[in-house]
Amino acid sequence: MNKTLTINLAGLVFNIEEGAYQLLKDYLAAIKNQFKDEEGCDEIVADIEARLAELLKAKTHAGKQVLVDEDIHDAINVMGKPSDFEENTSEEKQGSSASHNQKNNNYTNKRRRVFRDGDNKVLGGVCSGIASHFDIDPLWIRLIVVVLSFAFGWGVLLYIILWVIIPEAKTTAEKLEMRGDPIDINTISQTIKEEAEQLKNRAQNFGNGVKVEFNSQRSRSVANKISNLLYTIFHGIFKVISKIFGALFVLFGTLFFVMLLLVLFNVGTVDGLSINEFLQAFTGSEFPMFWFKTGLAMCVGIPLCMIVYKGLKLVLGIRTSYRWLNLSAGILWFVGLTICLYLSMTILRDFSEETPLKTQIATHFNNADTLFIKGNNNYQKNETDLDFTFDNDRWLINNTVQPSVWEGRPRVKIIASENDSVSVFMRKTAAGKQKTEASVRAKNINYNAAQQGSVLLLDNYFSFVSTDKYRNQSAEVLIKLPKNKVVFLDNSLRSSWYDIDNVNGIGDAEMSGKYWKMTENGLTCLSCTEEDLKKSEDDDTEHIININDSNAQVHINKHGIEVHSKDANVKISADGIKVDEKKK
Amino acid sequence: MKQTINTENTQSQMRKGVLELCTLSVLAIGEAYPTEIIEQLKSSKMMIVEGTLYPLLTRLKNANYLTYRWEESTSGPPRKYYKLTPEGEALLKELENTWDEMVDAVNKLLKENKNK
Repeated sequence: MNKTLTINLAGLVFNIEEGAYQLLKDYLAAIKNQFKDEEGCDEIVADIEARLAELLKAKTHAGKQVLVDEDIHDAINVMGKPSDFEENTSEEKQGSSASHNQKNNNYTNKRRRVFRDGDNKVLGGVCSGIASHFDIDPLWIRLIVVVLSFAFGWGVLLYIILWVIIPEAKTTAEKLEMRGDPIDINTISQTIKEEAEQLKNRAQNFGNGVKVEFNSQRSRSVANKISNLLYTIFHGIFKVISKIFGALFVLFGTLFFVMLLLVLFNVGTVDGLSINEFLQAFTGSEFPMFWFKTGLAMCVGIPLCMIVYKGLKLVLGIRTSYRWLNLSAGILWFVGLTICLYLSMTILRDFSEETPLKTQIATHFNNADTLFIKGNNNYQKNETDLDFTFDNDRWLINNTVQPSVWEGRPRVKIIASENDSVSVFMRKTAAGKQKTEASVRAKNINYNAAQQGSVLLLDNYFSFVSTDKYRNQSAEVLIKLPKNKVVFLDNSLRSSWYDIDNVNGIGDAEMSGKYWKMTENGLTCLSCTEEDLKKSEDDDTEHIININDSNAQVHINKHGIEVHSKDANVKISADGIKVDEKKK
Repeated sequence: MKQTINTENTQSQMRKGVLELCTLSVLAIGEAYPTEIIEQLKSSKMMIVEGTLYPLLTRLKNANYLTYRWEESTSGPPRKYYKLTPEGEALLKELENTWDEMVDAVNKLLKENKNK
């Protein structure tokens, strides 16, 4: 009992035994090789195929439907061996045998394709295949792979990818192509003898290929040659470009893939915190991290693998494509995407509602006294503490001394009061699935403000326990000052001043360590040095000259108009307009 | 290169040399498809292996000595029916002349030497 294949040879259908098929296939490959330099090679081969089909057709009848080795041998005997054709042309090419040989070599090099060498393998024959492609000892390639394996396991990854995408050299023709040997009847019969037992068929639509070639012959005319030439040129350019793109695909694909692996296997840090710890700040410990990572691996890893795969295919010129591979990759990707989206949604839902918790701090400040706003140093940041910026200036700090507690920096804002007293408001905010959950989280935020004589003591940091997870927690202090109230902003809250308007246009942090007076126009600096003001000079600061001010003077004389105030001098004369800012 | 001389090889070389002439001569009678040409060449013991004919036909066609048309066949793949072009006819005449001259010359030479 023997396995049979169905082939299409020159438009006729044949049932053929496996061995006979191999024989026929190799014979046709040898013929093709024989005429490769000849103009009209395809045509000759198509003609010969048509004749073979005719001969083989005569071998079949109702009683005998399957072609066996014998039939192929008979047909080949009638047709003759390619080496018999050779002598026909050798006379014409006399004296040029050397150059012919050279041509031959070039040709076989061009025809070389990468296959895995199954006869010479340690694992999958990838290294030996590549080695024989480049005509070097497989030992070197293996060495490179081993060395790469020690570097983050790159070698292993690369090997597996190559194993998948490079087809194994199974037929004799493929083995010869791999080695770059010329495909002719001699080399083929030699190889067949060596491993006649091992030959297996790759079920390719070989017959279809023949038919396409055959049909295309009909429409080919001399005029087509020009378009063929153009095709060859553009094909060449396209090939080079596709190789460049392929190389880029491989490069960036692997780069991002390695980054993905680092995330998945918790290698590396985000601002000093391991990736898992960082993620847990959002997800909490009950989150199915394993599933999330599996989903992530699928929905990000698969496209990256496919990019590397397509890139390698472009670079190595491999055309075989596996439908099952694309299909299963697509399905897995979709599954991964679903998992990721679902789990991300459960987290994102926790951010859907935000509840501010507003309270007023009971204070009673004497309006005549200067108000000092200070931090109480409730938490001193360690060198080893890690901090992350989330929302511009909102900070989250992982306290190394007490890792179960997260710290954050509050925002302190000063505005003018509508009435005559100092009032202090506090606002804690957190997010949650529902308003109730959000307000529970907001309550859990630990932040205090208290009056101590003429000093308003504020916590430097707010804190919450890590089981609450990061849900946009924040604490804000709003201080309302009546007119003419003088306030001192202490350096201890340097980083917490948040968007405080002032007439001098000085940045928030720079406002620290200075006395300020609440005027009609906003906070005005009382103790700023010239240097401080210079810093803000570039800004579009507005100087308002108050004519009611006792220090202001307006001179109108024959030279023009001059206005003097404590902030600036303005002179309008024949020379033009001159503005001088006064520095204190 | 190799080229060990053996009788069989020399004989086949001789046949191949005149194959072109014979093919043209077969087609001079009228259109024919390769199998018909092969049959005729075989019957006159001119054929070595069939494979030699196809490249020859293609070469002659590409050199404008032959043209062909397709014809569907009931018993197999479509056939190419070849026909001589005017250039082909001219080539045939020329080759025939050369052949006659050569045969005369060779016969003469052989006869002379035999008689010696």
